Amino acid sequence: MTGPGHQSKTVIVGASLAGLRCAASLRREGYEGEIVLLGNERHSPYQRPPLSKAVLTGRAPIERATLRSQVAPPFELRLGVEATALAAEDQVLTLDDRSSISYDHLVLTCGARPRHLAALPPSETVLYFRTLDDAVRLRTRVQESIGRLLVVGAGFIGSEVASSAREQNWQVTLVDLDARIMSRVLGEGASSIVEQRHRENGVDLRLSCSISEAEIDRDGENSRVSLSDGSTLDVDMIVVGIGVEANTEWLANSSLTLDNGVIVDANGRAEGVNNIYAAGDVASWFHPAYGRHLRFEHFESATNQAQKVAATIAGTDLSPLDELPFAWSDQHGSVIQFLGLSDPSYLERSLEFSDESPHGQSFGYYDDHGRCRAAVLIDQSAHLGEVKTTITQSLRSL
Amino acid sequence: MKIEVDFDRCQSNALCMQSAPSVFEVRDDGFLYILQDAPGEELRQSVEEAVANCPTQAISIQD
Repeated sequence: MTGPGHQSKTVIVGASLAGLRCAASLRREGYEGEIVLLGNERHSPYQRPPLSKAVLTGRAPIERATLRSQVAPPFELRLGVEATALAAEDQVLTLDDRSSISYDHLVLTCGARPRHLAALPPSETVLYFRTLDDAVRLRTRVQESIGRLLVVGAGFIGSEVASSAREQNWQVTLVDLDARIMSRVLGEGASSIVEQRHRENGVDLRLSCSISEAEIDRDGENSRVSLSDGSTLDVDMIVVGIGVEANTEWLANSSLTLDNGVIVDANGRAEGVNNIYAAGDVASWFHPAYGRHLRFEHFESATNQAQKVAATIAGTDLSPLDELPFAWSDQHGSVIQFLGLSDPSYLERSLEFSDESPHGQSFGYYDDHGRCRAAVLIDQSAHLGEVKTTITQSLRSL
Repeated sequence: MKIEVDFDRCQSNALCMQSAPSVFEVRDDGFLYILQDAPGEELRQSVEEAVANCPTQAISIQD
């Protein structure tokens, strides 16, 4: 495909953090071909972390979410268009306006979408929080009046939305099926501290609890929800954050291997295809340190993976991505940072630092060989560097 | 010493502000402001600390 007069063309599906990052990194890596970035929303590429935090509380303007990277020409950003089919053998994508677009390299950064609860279809009252439009809608609602919010799912999104709504003096009930808050990433000790923060700040936290019945007033105001603990709540608004699913349905008839995302190697290359790549929430990425494919849904990973794909396409760096998973959350003024990949079988131990920080507490998670494999720092971000070094060293010794 | 900040990586965690308050400032609008992008050598140590402490690796020193 690189005959005389043919300029290489990279098409990126998903004008997301990963998508824009990949485009900008391609240029930084010296790629001179044409880059086309396709987005199905009408907004310029933005990032999600501020949406449930500073944008929702109103502490930061909506523009805080907009990404600033510029991509040198030849570059085209096409918004409001969605890819509907991929013919990998012909190197052509079909779009929802019935046009098609050919490529030499294809990067999939088409992300994920919220998982839905059958009992709670989306409506004016029920919001599956994900996009900038969702954040603007909830922010407007929360700022124009004080009301009662039910948050379903105490993961990253749910816990942050609960915190942000409390900051705006809304009455907030946070419900989760599990017995602990953020149980996928926190051990018992860390969970209990975060739970305490929520309770101290007036969140009505209902754990080991689910929704047994919901009568939704689609226009708001008069919705009533029965919980499995026997109680009934009258609510004005419901936000659901129970996880996401990778956007891969449109790829079902392509030759790509799909399994909880697009299966890619440690350089972001799709299995069995040499010119298709994936990064970010849609990518099930092979991590040599863990010996398996993992789909991370965090800012840092999306950024790192997108840069790695760009280097792979440009041919400037073919070493596998070596990253220590990192994520963070802001809740009730606390900064919670997550390092490494936790596992329920690990032993949780409190981390002690030489210079005692007066606030906060941190925990390490140890495998059965006594190696620190993951950690959670609550209001102790000054120690992030040393904890990172410890975990990196124990991963190298595997 | 020339400082470069990758604003799309920056998440306003404000750790840089603790290390080098005369160089970095995260304001109430949630954005990081660079107060001087070419600070003197006397600030190198604190800027290097800011680079090392940044959780999202958003800061680099160009020379």
